[in-house]
Amino acid sequence: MNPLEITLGILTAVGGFVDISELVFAAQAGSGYGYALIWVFAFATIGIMAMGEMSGRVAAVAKQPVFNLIRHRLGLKLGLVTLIASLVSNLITCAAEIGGAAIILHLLTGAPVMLMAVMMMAVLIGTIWILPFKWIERSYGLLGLFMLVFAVALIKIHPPWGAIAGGFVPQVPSGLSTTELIRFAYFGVAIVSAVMFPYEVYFYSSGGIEEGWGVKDLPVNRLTCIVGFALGSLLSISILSSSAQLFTPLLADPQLPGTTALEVELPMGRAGLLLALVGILFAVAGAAIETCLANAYSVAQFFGWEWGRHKKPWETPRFTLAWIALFLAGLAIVLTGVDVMKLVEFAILFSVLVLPLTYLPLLLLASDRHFMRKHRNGTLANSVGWIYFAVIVVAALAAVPLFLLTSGGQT
Amino acid sequence: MSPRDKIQLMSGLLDLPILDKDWRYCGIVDDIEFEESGENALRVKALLVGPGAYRGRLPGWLFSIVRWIAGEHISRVPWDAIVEIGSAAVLKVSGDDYGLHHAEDKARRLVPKRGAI
Amino acid sequence: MRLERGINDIVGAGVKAALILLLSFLAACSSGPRTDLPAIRGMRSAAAEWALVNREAARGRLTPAYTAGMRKAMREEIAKQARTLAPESPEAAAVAALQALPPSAAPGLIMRQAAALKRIEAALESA
Repeated sequence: MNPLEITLGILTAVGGFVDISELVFAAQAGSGYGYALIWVFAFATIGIMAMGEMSGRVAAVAKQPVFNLIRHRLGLKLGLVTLIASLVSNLITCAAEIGGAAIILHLLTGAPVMLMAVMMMAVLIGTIWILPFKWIERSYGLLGLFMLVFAVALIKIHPPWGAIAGGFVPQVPSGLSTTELIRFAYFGVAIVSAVMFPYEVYFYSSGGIEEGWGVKDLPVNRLTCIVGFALGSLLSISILSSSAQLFTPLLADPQLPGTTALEVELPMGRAGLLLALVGILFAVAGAAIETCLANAYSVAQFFGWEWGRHKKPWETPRFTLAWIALFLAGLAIVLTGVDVMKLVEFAILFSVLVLPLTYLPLLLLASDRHFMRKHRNGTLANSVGWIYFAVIVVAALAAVPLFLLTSGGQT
Repeated sequence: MSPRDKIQLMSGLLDLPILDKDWRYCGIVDDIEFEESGENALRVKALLVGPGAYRGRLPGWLFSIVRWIAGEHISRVPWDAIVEIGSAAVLKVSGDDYGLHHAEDKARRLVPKRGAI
Repeated sequence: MRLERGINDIVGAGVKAALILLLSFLAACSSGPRTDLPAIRGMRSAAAEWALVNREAARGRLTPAYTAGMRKAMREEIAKQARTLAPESPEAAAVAALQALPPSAAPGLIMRQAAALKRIEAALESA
């Protein structure tokens, strides 16, 4: 194992963990419920660790990415349902990320949001066109490490560490009205969805194929998923905790990603504000790339096209045209002027509905003796996997009623 | 696994990705064609690749949409062109021999060949 | 094939269960007076964020682009939520007072209106 490669892989996972949905929901969870939703972040992170590790292992051992195997195990009809559902979910998420990045650029420069969205698009298309896969992933992941400024800011405000630690214990705050209880449940489901977004599994497993992972890379896969995602999750929990400490007394439930940057400005001044905005920009832009490529991977793998950025764009023409078209579709959604926060809400909702369709084939494949041989799921991985699948199914069933009852978390 | 071994046609072969001898993706096993082999016996004749092969596998209205978007062509890959079946069906020849790269080659004309590291 | 059929059956049953659950929830829990609650909550928070931005801007800790962008965004959010309220609703007066404030209004003035909206929000939640 190359220590530098491992370190870069973990740091990339940390910097790429937070996207616009996690940013917004972490801040609102903190301002609305204090530290009471920390355990949900921790719980969901264990889920994405397990599923991420499985998807990387399947890619390394079976040498086929998740969506090839989804089609093979579920068949054409159900595979098509999964493909269309995940395309819609990832497209909305991609549009939310593009819109979020455009808002941050607007706050940094003063230039119009729509112009910044178009510019952002050009930069993202240029990035994927010019750079090979490893440097696409690494550049935005490492630049996303500016987000560590949120952890520094939390330390500087001297929060009640005992209360934060207490937040890791599963709990429901006492004395909540029925309305508030339903809203709490909605936030629980939303956090699970935001942390376990399906695009992360598609991107991660396809990335493993892009980087030519084999059995020798299984330890790296495990380390990246466990350590990288754990540290990334702590970043989300920092955002939640700062929001609880700073925004609750001020009656603010952050409505925009720009407000979250004040968590760093308040203890660290103007320099902190700029670092936070830059961190959010790269984290969200990186997520836009991941969601777009995840969609292009899904389409290409489902229909058996040549795919991957480990090849030149002209060597995989249909895949290239697919990711460009998907980016343009995401941009078109943003240019309609739809509220970016509404896109975030719908991204969360659609994603949690797709999660069971994504994770069931993955669980079955990771346990398959024929494909995985001695690297198939052991007792622990199977137990964790099936427990989380049950949780995801319950979350998917509850998502739409909770969304409607709470008007997207606003009631 | 080789084509002579016993395989589960539906769970082991249908919807498997296809790789040619150059390890290029050539589509998915969209359907399987059989021929008679003696009395009351069938054997696999060819793998069918392309949107036209969805006809028997999708509801009529859905197949009409697929046909409108992607056409209904079918490429036939003879069974004896397969050298291995595992997580993919591997051909012993190039996919060009059966027109499996035709759509990819058409799309290549739209993609400029410059700028990438 | 068996796996596909089995999963199709499970998915179909799951969709039916979801629809029954959804209809039950909506029938049991829909209510009238609370329908302004999302708008009030949104406006209260936007006002609080606006006040915070103005407070930090007055201390010279924000950039001009950030200050202008956030003020505009918060005022647009308040205007958007206000459009969903009935003109004769009890909250309309508080909202009108908030909207009458200039973008660079003193943080204390904005927070006064935010606090008023918070009291209305609490009353609606307990209704």
